[in-house]
Amino acid sequence: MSSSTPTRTRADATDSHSGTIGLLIAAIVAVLIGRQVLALLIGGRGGVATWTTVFCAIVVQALPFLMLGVVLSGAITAFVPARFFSAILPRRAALAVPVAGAAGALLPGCECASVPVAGRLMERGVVPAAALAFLLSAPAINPIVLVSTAVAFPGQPGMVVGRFVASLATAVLVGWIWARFGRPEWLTRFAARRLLPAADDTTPAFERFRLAVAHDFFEAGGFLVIGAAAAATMNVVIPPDWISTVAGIPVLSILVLAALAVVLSICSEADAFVAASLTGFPVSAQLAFMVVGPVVDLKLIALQTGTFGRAFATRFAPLTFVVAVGAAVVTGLLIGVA
Amino acid sequence: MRREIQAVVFVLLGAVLLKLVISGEYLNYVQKLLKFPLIATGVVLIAFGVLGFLRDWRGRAALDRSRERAADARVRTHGPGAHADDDVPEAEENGHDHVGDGHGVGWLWILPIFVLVLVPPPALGSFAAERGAATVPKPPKSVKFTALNGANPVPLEVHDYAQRAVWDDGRTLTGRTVELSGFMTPHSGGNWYLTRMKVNCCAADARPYQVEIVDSPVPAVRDEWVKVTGTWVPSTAKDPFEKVALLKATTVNGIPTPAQPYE
Repeated sequence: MSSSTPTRTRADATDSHSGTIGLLIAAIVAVLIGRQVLALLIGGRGGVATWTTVFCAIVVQALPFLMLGVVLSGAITAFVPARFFSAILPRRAALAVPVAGAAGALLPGCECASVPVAGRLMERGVVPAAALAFLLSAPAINPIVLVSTAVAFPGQPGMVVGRFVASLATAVLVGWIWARFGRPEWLTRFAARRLLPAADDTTPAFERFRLAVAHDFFEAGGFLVIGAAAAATMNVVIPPDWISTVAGIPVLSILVLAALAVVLSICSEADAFVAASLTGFPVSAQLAFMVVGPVVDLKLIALQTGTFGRAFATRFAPLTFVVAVGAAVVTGLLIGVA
Repeated sequence: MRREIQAVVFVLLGAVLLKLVISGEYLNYVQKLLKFPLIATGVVLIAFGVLGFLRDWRGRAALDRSRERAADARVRTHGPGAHADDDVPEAEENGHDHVGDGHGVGWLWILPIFVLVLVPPPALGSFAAERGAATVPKPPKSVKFTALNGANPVPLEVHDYAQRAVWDDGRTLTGRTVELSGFMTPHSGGNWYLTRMKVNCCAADARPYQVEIVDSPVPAVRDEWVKVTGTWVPSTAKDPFEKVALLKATTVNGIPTPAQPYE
């Protein structure tokens, strides 16, 4: 990556003007044609309009949380010395994982915020397994999510407790599994990113902050757009009566709601309301929906692919899914007994 | 090129967010609660975009001076793989260049910007409503059906009416005239539902609440917003999970699309 930089920097500067003009012309043409095409499609108020509304809604909803996440992660990169994390986190991964998992309760955001933060934590020397435990627990057990769960399930404190326990258990278990079996080469994209001068200590702190925020926001945004498009497609394509027909079937209902959480990619701060509206489903299935959603969903997989690489995402997402469903089922049974 | 595009994207995206809030269109996608977070995000984005432009210009002026002597010399002595850590302005410049390196998926930001600038999609309508059920989901235990106060007609939210009609057997509705606002979703035999979507967080989690209008004086016009006054009539179904909320219409009047399309 860095080897081609000097030559490309020069080529960029000389091509810059013609490139800008070309881009300007392309933009004008795209605007003129795009407007007509879009107006035709959306004006119909059919599937395309619905898809576009859901797509825009997911992007707009995620933006403030993504911004919160990248500003926080930029601050970690620029203003927090690397030795800070090695000082507060236990040296052994086995201990660092639960500490980092519990620390997830401190980040009041949804899943979009936690991915860039986890990436920058690793960059600052936090053990990958611990950063991943934080990545999984932060969107699931922070106060905002727990309060919204309590509001969605009034008179059922078991759901709030169950969600907290199952989500934290998922984060810690996945962290431990990663600490035991994870390989550094699965984090290749991340290793490449280490070369970013954004983390170079010769640059002034504010400039490092600015570069980190700009980079993380721009890149994560691209994957957010992919994830939002996929989720909007599922939202418009899946026939809703498929879901209600399986409500009574024990094992299948859990798997269907877990899979639904993955494809719908609803923000962790809202998913409790959706889970509560899925009446007729057993407690374990509703819990699975709320435990899986914040840790595995389409936009999250896209964001993780972008931040950590494909080799990582193809292993991490299925592992997390299995552990999360297991944790939700066990916790659901315990709540049912209590 | 990339860093310029990045700055343009930031400024555009920030401007789009502010425009959505000022025009009130953001309510078609998210909850009112997000108003100030959206404004803050828009302002920060514009600030980062402008800052990026400024750094870029300053950086390029410095680069032009140093490039002729520095770049050639480095390539000659260190080879093309040399890293420019001996030269601070150059290193910063590399930093800019790496921005957006790798996937180039940052370009995809252009998609939502284009859509939201050119043709902001409308609030969810009858297409989304038809995908949901006409029955009313069981309300949480915290929902209490208190007696309706005020003179007839009593304005009610559509989901409130539907829950009272189905889950409280219309106890609080008998003898009252109510007023509901929503859009028309046609169904079989020229009948139609008065529909309102309920949103908890963003339009992705919307679900419809529907009230079947009995004896409508007007035919259905898909997605037309109307205000209906009328009285409750019981559903024929016995199981509340099977029941549809019914309203015998007295008047149906067209209204403009409300600023807050969801409940």
